[in-house]
Amino acid sequence: MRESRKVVLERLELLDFRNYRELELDLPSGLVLLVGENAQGKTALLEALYLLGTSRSFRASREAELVRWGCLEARVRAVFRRDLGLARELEVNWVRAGDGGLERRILRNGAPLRRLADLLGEVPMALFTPGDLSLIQGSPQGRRRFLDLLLCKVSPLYLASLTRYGSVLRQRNELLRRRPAPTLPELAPWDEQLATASGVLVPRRQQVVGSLQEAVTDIFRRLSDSRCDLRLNYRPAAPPDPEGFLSALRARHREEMSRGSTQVGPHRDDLELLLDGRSLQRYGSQGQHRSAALALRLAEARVMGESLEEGALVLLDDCLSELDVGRGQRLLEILAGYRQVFLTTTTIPLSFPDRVGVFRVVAGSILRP
Amino acid sequence: MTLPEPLERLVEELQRLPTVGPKTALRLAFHLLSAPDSQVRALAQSLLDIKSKLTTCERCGNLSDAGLCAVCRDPRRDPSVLCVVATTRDLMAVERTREFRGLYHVLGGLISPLDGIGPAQLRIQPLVDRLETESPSELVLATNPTVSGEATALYLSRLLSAKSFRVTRLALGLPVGSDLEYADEVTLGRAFAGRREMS
Ligand SMILES: [Zn+2]
Repeated sequence: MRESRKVVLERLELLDFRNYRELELDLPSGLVLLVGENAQGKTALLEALYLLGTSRSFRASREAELVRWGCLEARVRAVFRRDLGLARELEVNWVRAGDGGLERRILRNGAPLRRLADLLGEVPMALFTPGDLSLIQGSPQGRRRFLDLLLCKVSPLYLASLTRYGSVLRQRNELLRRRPAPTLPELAPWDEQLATASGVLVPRRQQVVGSLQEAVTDIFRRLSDSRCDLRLNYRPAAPPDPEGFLSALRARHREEMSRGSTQVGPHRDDLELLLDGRSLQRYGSQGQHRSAALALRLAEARVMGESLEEGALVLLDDCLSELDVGRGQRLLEILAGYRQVFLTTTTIPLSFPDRVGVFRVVAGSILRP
Repeated sequence: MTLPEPLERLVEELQRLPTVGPKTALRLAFHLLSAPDSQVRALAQSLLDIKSKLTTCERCGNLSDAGLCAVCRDPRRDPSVLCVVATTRDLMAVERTREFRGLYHVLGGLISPLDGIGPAQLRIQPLVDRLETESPSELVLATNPTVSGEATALYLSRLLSAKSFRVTRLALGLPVGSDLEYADEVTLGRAFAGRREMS
């Protein structure tokens, strides 16, 4: 992880974003600590960065609240640079529209981006929030989404195939619910299209799980300071080759019609986590679950960075408070291996590395100590 | 602002048209108000005519002002190649290329369970009948590369696979995947918000 082409955020500017009136911040590489009490605006800074990477917020609040109360527009702008490369400027801005919603615009180097897909992968970043515990404890859906989002960022073909798969699935499910029940020739065009899209999705998921594996095992070991072996076991619900997929589908046509939904395909896959061969979800401790969720996110950053050959920013929201002192300390050591990391916290850990940028966040402004 | 009743009614009718908002509707209404009587009468008459004088071609389903449409009446067209399109608008798109000299068959839509459209709702049986009597040598399936266009093409190619003519596929419009503009918002929205199970 020490190639020369790593992306770094050099500067962040906010205007009337959340509780920030105006902010201009020059940022160092390495570990950047955003320290502050709750509700001061630490997480809003991560949110601003994440919006530049995905155009979406990760916080569950109304979009209209992105614009500071009483203001008509908000802006987030950032300057990124790859080592030895040209600076790139990304901007997302919002203007209040007549219907109470927001109109959003995304600009790259001052020029509007036509498609949202063009933004994905522009500035690779991985985000950890305390809610990511659900990656381990929740349903397979969350783990599929984890893989899908990672793959969409690194592969436009994956994004196109996933979109198509979703459209075919909705049509096919509607047909399965229809009475009188659909005939096999009516189902066939949808079966074939599912098989085609699945033939792109499943092998790529297999591939990316393979890439994640090494990093996950390594990071989990270092984080938990143990010899425990954390393994990823991707379990496709159907074979990826079109022939195998179609026969798996045909075997369940009758059941599908009685249930009124598609029972086979990538939308039913799971990513199982095994700790020393046993289900982590079932047998792991809360601490092991936390470490595994963090390991998944940090592995995501590594894989994304390697695929796009320019590293990935790591955003960690409030991850120290839930870790014991030892794990927290070891996490900081692991983070030293990343080019740039943004970490929010309420308190500065006692044994903190010297080379670190500490920013104090107080009521929508930043104080450097 | 209150408009005199006839003017207000016109503005409201105009606003039902696609792409016409309140401002445009008002502009068009005032334009018509100041236009010569003859021009307004001609417009009104042509509006009535498209509903009373137009019908679909009894052979291919194209819009027509007679039993057979202009394409089917044209003796220079090659009856050995038949191009299947979803709508008259798609037919016109193919015509604009000036590359195709055969005849058409207009399905009247695409298979889409979500819209309640299956093979029975489309002009598929008339197509099968036509193929029996006209026995062309090639059938070109020219539906959009959307999932519905693809499903329709796949359905037809299966249905007609045992026949003696060649079935070829020509995707109209944008290449596969380029309907992303709209769709990736949907997918991403679901992926990010994660509130709906895909099943
Ligand atoms: Zn005709």
